[in-house]
Amino acid sequence: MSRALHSHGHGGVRTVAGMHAALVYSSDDEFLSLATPYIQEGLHADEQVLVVTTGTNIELLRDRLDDHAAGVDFIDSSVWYSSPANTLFAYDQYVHDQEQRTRPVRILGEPPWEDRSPLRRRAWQRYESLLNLAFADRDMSCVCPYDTRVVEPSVLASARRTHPTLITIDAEQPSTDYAEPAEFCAECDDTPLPAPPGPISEREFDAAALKSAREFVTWVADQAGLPSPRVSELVTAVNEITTNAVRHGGGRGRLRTWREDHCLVFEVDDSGRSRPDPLAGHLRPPADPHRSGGYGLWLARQLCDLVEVRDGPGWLVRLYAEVE
Amino acid sequence: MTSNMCKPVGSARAGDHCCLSFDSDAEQRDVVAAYVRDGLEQHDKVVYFAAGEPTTVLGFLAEGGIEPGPCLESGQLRVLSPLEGFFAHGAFDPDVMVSALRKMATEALDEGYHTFRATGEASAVRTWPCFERLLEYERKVDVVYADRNTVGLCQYDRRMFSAAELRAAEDAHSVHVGPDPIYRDSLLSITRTYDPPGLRIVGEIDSSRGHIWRDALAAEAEATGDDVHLDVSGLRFVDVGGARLLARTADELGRRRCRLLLHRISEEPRRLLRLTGWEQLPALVVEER
Repeated sequence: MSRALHSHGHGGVRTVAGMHAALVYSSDDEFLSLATPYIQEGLHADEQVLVVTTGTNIELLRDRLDDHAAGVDFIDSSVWYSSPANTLFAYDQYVHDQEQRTRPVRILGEPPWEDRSPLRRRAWQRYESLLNLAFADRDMSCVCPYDTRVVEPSVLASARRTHPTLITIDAEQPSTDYAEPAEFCAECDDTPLPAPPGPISEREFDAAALKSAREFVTWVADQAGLPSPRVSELVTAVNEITTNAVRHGGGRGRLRTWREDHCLVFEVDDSGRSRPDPLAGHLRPPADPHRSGGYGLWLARQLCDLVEVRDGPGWLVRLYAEVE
Repeated sequence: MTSNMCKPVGSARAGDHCCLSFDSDAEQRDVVAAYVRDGLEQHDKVVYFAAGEPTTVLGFLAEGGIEPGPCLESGQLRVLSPLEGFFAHGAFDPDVMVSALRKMATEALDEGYHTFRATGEASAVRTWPCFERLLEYERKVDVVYADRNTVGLCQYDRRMFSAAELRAAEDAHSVHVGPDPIYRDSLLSITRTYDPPGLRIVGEIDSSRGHIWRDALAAEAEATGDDVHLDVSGLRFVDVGGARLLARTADELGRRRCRLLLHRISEEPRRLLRLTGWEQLPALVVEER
């Protein structure tokens, strides 16, 4: 990925194709003076401009851009950032649609960081790192604002590791802390998962028991009060993981389930395969139907609110579905 | 009669008076050949009342994997031309036909056959003398088939009867039969369809049934030089592997300018095809329920 290596005096962000930058601001004025020229430059160059941020920031920008605001796609961040996997895919599709029209894309995207559990926060940090892969070599740029008034220092620290470029009111410069996505994601996947807090139901499965594992998931999800379309999605997600265990993980595995933090959790672990690739199942594999494999974990990530993979004796996969 | 209300022909039992209404020669031949084959295998006496030349019937039985020669010689199988069968006594008469059948059944059982198994192409007697007499026969012959050692299959070519006639004829039968599934177990059944030509899938496809699904799709794609239609309204679950096989089949059909059409798909399989991007394949046509 090529990066903008440029320092600037006042206002403006120097962009090049493929740029992924963290924009660190501490006031509305700083936000506007950095974000506005970035957007204006895109409009001027006839790029497709997408702005996903808080309702407050959208109002500030609309006000400042005035008539030009009509040329910008504004989306409220509380709607857009549903789950890391869904958001990654939504950006991918958005850029893909514009690629069909050979139109460059310029994104200003600010994920919400407040009120996230440590598990969720890490998943969104990993997502920021994965954007570097998703956006590599594409005709686009992406700037992610971080509001120092609300985000914790640890979030800012990880932004420096997940963005090749850092923009502040003083300078635009390469991030010396930047870590390659494979390295950063591996670190995320090394963080231990909390022990299940409550009662656990569990069962063993093998190739002949995929159907009964699906019935088990259906029953548990029904009991948890999930609506029927959500139950079907979970059944599909868990079935892909149990299928992977049967095919690549020693032919059998264990399926466990419990409630944790407003979530229904399913955990699948198998007994025999090598350490998971930290990048597995994050980016959609090519649609070529003659390629085999690669889709199951990606699909599970799409269908659940969160999926975590850990290295155990085999693979250990936890799938989270929010329950209200 | 829609085909999903049919029993597979293989489940026809002594005592059944069955109706097959079909749209195409291919469907008729598959079902009737299976019916005759089942009879010959379990040592039934099989009598076929043809509407045309017996050689036509013998031809498609042979194509269906039955070697008619030895059975004809032994008398286990008889294929009667219209003049030997339906019109052996002049214009078709229900009472004469019923007593002839009863006699044949008695003789067959006396000869030591397991069951008397008859089948007839009803189009032969639609106009001579008239449809009302055919219907009268259907009602009267019930008594013959009610005998536990007798089974009958009446073949109605939908192209030869009006909708009202078909309805009346179907109502006169207690059992309606269609093709035997290509595959069936507790999880999944796959049955050939004829109009449009393709497969009807009922149940769940996961990796334990992947090879069956792959073989069925490959055989269907290979057998036709045309589009393949899948009735997936009864497909309750499919995993990524199963969906990938659909995409592969569509891609292969696309290479020879044919398509794979999925009819009446439900929400879950649809979502899978959308998310994976396979729905975008030009040769895959997805039609919602």
